[in-house]
Amino acid sequence: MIELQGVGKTYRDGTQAVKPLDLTIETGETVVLIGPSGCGKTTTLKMMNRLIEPSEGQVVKDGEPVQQLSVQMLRWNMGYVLQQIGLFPTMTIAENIAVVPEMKKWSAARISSRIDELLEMVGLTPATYRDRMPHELSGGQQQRVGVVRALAGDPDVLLMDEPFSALDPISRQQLREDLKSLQARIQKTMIFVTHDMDEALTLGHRIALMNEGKIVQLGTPQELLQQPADEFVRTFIGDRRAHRDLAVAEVLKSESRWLTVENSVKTVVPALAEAPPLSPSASLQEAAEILRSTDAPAVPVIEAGELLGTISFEDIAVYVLGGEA
Amino acid sequence: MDTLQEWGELFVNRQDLLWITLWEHIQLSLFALVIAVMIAVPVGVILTRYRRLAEPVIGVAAVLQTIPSLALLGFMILLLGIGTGPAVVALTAYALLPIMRNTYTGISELDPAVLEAADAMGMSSYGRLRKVELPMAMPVIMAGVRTSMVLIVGTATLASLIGAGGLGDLIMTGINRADNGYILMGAIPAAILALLFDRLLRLIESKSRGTSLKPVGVAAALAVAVLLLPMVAWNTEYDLVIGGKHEAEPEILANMYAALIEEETDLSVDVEADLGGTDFVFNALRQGDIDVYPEFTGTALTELLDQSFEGLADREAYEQARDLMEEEHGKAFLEPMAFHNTYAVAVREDIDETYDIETISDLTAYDQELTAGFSHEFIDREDGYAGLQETHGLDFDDLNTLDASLRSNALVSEDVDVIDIYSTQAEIEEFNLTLLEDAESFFPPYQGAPLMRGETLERYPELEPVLNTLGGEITEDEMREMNYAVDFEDEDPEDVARTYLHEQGWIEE
Repeated sequence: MIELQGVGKTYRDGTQAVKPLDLTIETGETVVLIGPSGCGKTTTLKMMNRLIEPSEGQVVKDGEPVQQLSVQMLRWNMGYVLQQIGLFPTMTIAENIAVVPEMKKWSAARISSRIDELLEMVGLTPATYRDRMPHELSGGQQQRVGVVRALAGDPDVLLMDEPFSALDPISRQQLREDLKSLQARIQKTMIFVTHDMDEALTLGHRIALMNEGKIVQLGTPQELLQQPADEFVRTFIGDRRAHRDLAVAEVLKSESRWLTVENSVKTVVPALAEAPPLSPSASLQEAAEILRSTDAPAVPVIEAGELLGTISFEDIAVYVLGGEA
Repeated sequence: MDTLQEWGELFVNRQDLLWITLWEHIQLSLFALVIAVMIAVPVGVILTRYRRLAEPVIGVAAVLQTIPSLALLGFMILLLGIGTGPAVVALTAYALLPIMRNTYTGISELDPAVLEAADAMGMSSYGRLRKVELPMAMPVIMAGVRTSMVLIVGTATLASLIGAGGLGDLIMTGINRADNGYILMGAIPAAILALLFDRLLRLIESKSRGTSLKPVGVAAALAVAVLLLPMVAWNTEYDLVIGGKHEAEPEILANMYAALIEEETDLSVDVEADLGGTDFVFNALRQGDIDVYPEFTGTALTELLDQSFEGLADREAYEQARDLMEEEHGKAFLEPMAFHNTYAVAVREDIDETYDIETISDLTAYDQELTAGFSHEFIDREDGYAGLQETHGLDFDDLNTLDASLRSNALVSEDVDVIDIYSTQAEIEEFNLTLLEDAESFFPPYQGAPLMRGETLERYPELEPVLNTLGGEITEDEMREMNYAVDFEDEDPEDVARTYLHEQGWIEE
């Protein structure tokens, strides 16, 4: 758990990059910091691993103020992924990944198997990629290594500073999907900085929308979508409310992980049991209402007694943002 | 003129000399380079941590770099004396800038994202330096090291001027004797050495790609070992060091002093007769690096004591120089030898026959027809052409400025008809030149005599009678013959000196 208690940053020249703010990130939670450039989101992130020292307030990690921890130990346990990737160009992929485990004095065998495990996790064949140099990889592949390098020392927190914004749209889309599935598997606390609303809606359990050094609104994706705190939030998210009267049939996902097929009959998984089903012509707003009021991860859509598929916030978000689900 | 075959022969005959000087050169260069790296890389790294200091520190190194190498070497004599040590210091000072600047720039210009990644991963400042910054900046740093290395190997040829040896010895010999063979024997190996070092450094660099700095460390350790081994053996102490300029005549004379002293006393004597010029030798004497060297009365008066020699007879000139040397510098100027090594004006044999010229004054009649080739110094000096213009009304229509070592060649090749020359120079004999008579005693007295530190004479008073053995001896012809043996027959100055002394019955063998 990371707590920002009145944390702010004022530079010597008087520029107030971040006004004192409070933010608590639960263990295992992904919080996205989003906002226009210069809003203080990256500064806020860097104050967590002390790349930038706060000028007021304190960051507390698992009950301990980070100022009191050794800065190296603190960082060994906080993976960091940069927008510019920043792989060490003189080291091989394996050597890049091994940096933190080596500093943590892991055994050579453990480091080696960790490298293979991580490379496989992001779909890079260890035999092929271990001994390559970073410049031999594509941008997307490099950033996969960047993510893996941050995870190598088995940190409990992962800090990501616009990790996908320098990539081409296809790689960006892919990595976003990969990270989404990784999120479920590795259960790390993640703080993710981006200026891309799609990314925020897809990845964030909660989103902190920042402007001019302040958190303007903090909430789940649907809260931001449905109850924007003010005009700024509404403008920043964009007018996604035009979609609210759209029929759910448009967004429907027939191949969803909430469905199982037994004896060629589609049924929903038990998690959806309490969600009242919708008809294909119901509006997205109705679907959103149900999702919000029931805690169910998705709503089944039924027509004439036949299960057509399910619809979740994610599906809505992806549709609204124009991505391919 | 020289031919390839002659060069080949010279190379074969003087192989021993080549290997010795080459080895000295390697040691000198390597020593300076290793020290420069050991200073400049850490300083460069420190500057990246304290950037405010970068400008002034690199500025100082740049100033060092702008000092002409010859001046820096000359200056080093006053501070540290002669020999390998001062030469290494001077060469190191030269090599600092490229390495320091490249280390600083190499590290400063690294991608800040990569450095942020290193910090964010919890590397210590030293760990980041060793694993990220140095390996990444290595190509730039090594480029600086290679630049410095070429600079050092080149400049080290000048180190022979302050008695540090090296291939410069061969080059200086070649220049003094106008012998291209010697010049090439020094210059070609120096160039090859630079290329070889460059190769070696590139190899080290390519081996250290990646995170490991080991090959660089191993190479540095090896270099230090190469340097330290012979250093231990070098430190021989002598009672007395005899100096001399790097020319045939001073070398012969210095060896005569040594032979006489060894014959008559029990003192151990070293000969350092390869120093750069009047200032270099005199500074070495003041510094106490050498105890005695042969100097000319005229030079002592005009250059060292800033006196005029006008109207002084030989003896008066000597006595004035002797007294002033004692008074102003505490140096003893012992009895001069017979010969003069003064400026003279020479013409080719055929000119002498065609025109009716016997004295310098006779030239005035033909100064519209004949072509003159004078050295830089001669043209400017009051006891040279400038003076001749005033006193003799000599005014050549066609006057060429030539390097001292090229004068006689230009005369023989008929590019010029009249040259200035030193009266004991071996070329007079070799090319059968006619010296014009100085009927008006225009040229000042230039007699050679031992110039010695007062402290040395106090300590070993027995040296005075020993060195005065040569007083009033050695005629111009004898000196010229000996110079000829060294310059044109490639004989060893020491052998020439001993043979003469033996013939005079002053030494046994």
